[in-house]
Amino acid sequence: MHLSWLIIFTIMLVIAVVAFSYALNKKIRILALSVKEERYDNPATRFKNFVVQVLGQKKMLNEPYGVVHFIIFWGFIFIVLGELPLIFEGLFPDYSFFFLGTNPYFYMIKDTMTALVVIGLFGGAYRRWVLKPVRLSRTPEAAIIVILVIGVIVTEWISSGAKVALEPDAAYSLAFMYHAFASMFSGYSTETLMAIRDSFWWIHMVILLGFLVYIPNSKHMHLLAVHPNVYFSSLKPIGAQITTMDLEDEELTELGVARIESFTWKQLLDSFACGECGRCMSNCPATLSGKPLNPKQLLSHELKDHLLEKGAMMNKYGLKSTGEDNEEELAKIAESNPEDYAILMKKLIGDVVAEDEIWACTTCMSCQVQCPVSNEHVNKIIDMRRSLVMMDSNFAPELQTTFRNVENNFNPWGVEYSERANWAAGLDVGLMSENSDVEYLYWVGCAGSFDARAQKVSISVAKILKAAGVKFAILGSEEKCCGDFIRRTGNEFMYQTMVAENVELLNGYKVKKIIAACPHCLNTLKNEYPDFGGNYEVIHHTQLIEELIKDGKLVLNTAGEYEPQRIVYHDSCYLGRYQQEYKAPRALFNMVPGVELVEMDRNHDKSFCCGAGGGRMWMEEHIGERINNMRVEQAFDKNAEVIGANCPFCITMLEDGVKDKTADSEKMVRVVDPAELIAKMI
Amino acid sequence: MNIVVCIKQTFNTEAKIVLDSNGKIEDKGVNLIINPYDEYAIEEGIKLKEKFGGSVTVVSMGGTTVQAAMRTSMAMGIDKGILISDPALENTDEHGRAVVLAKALSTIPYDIILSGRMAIDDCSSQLAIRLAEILNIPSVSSVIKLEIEGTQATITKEIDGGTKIVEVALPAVITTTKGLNEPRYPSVAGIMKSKKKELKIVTLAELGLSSEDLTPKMNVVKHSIPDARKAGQKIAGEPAQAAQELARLLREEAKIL
Repeated sequence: MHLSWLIIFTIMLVIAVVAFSYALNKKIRILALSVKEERYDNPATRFKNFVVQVLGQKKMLNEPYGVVHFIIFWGFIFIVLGELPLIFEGLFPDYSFFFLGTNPYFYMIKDTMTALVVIGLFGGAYRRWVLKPVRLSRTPEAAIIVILVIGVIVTEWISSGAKVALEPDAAYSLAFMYHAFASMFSGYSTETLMAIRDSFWWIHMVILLGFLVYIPNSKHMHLLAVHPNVYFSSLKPIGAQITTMDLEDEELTELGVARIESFTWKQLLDSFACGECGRCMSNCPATLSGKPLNPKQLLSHELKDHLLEKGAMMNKYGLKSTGEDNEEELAKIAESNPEDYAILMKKLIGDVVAEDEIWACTTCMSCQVQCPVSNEHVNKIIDMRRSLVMMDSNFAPELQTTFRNVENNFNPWGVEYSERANWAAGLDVGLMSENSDVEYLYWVGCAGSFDARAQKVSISVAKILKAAGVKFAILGSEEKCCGDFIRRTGNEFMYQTMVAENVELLNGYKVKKIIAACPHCLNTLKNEYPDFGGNYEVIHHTQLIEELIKDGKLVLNTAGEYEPQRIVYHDSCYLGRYQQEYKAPRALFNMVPGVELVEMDRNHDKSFCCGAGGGRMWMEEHIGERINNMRVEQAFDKNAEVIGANCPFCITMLEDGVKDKTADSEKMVRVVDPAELIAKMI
Repeated sequence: MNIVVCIKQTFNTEAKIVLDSNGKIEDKGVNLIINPYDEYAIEEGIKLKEKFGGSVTVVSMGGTTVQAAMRTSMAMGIDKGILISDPALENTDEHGRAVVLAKALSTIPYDIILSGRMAIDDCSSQLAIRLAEILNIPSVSSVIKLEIEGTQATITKEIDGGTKIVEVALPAVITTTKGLNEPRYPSVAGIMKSKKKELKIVTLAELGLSSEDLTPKMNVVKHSIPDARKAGQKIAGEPAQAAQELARLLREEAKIL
């Protein structure tokens, strides 16, 4: 036993563990300033998510470079395991560590994994610093970690290689990297080998313990935060993750989030878990169109940096919040320490996150769907919008007009509400108020009712339903805006008012099954109304039509002449990512004779938003490129005559984009819903 | 500064006007809003208070439904309200209402009285001016800019084809129009607070008036709905021929040439 080694190592270890704990504790105390959130239910499902996403690296592997991360992740586990015999046998050379220290297969696997990690790190470094993808940052932090990990691995190889060269050990018989280094040292004297073995053992330990301290002090906090973050990630469907506020709560003095400590611990943990891979930003329509919002930047820098700075300051003064309840305390700090006060008073909205950033989100959910650490970006943006709208009444003037329109006429267009069913004139569509004994309620939605273009889809859907003998009715002038865009623009108060009225009406008619032609209505009716006592089975018209055809209830007439046409398909966010319905609309297009259906480069769960979601439909797009125009250009790349869509807002946005991007009005690409083509075949 | 804002609750701008069997305007199922021109008055009142301090009182007339409009104005930032509610108000005209309003205002202090330049339902633009006459104070209509210094107001008002700047001593009645400001959208925090604000309801008797004081000076003879617009007509053919056909139609059918 090396007594002196043991003493020195123990001192080093204690220092490292204390430094590590100190840094970690500081972060935990900062997180503890946040608001409570219940995320402890369903441990089995949560554990399964952890196994799939962390151990199995499922989302990570959605992209080819994810393989490198997979190797590094599992390589790390073997490095950590390998430290046990390395440390033990270094300090107590006469003994072998239990099981691991004597198992040649363990060393074989470990050598394989560490060798792959080194190759992977070089590959990753090449990608980051030579290929320079926009989504990866080339920061010192990123370089330090690569050097540290390579240092940890290589010093261990050298030390253990020298050990093997000194005295062959059966345990290392399959450790090819150890042998490679040992053969490099052939011919060295025993003293030299012993010096190499010992000195690199110590260098290794210094790097290793340094690494330990570095983790909680850097962005590599990711390594620690990702595990709880995935375990506690939302179990709700992606379309049901916006929190329902209790507006009856008399205690409620602040609505939404205007201060960093008003986020919940899970919302803030997200920023620590972020590994800065940038998948969110490279799929974000706001980022890609040159808007100030960049989901990676928002979480990993703006929110995190501000949280650490302000949180540390709050803890310094023992403040639980910087709201009105602590006014006196804050006034004292302003007097005694203006610099600290300035940090405490930094505005989340304005100083940290710009208003334009908050309004740029289309709630397309691509960031969340791509995020390998299960971060929830959109909720934070909605919470900040809630503060802007409900506390400060601060939002785009055109949005104010839209809110007013809904208040006065229950639709964002502001058309007189009693004209809601005018589109159905002459179609013999029944009203629920006349006969509610039907199988389905057809929820037409504001677009389908009032927008001239979307009315054509409504007419097609109604004709198809009648042809298939479906018993359905509409609400007519009783239907009111579903509230989707109202909630997503932060006006929770008005959203809940609309929902309460709609739920009362729907439950009054004992509605059980709903057909929605608008994926936005579909999502809120299906995923958000249950919080308000509205429980319905909601289906998109393309899903129902596909079912009707499959069941033989709707027979298509395929006789006659059909022009061949090439259709490029656009997945709407709210039917695609939100409902994971990719097949039904495609299936319907493929049923039309002569149709050749092609995919855009960004399709299925990587589909690119049309730019209308999250209330953006009702707001001017002042900054950057127009998102709809970008999507239309992506469609034009496929040389199709028609763009296929399934959402009234997508249709509007894409048609606008087509008009904007087509010089020759004779050669205008058409945008169609599959129901429009199917309706011609009945 | 004591600021008074007079508002009216009207039909929503998109409302479809229907007459009942008696030829009266049907109000069933119609959504009611604050007269849009009055919103500028509310906003300006709140702005004046924010600048000079004091309080803003909203005054209106009508039944219980009007309270919703008044609460909305309070959610925007108005401090308190007076609602004159009496069945007798049904059977009067602008003259009668001005008498009532003047009487109600005589019970409270005012430095400035703001109201929309007209109500979008009857478009008569009389009440505010009549009110100023009865109170014997100046009035300026269709104001798009208002600056106050001490008891003097410098006002830019819209006139046909241009603007005019006038100076007036307070108290005065000011009618507001589009361009003066952008009315705010009430915040939820404001809505919550508005529920606790004072809204006093008074009757004509409480104001010391009787229905005789309200005897109308004018009678509505008849309401009528404009004829529905006929569908447009597309003239096909070569430009030259189409133009000839258009000229023929304008002369023979429309009879305007």
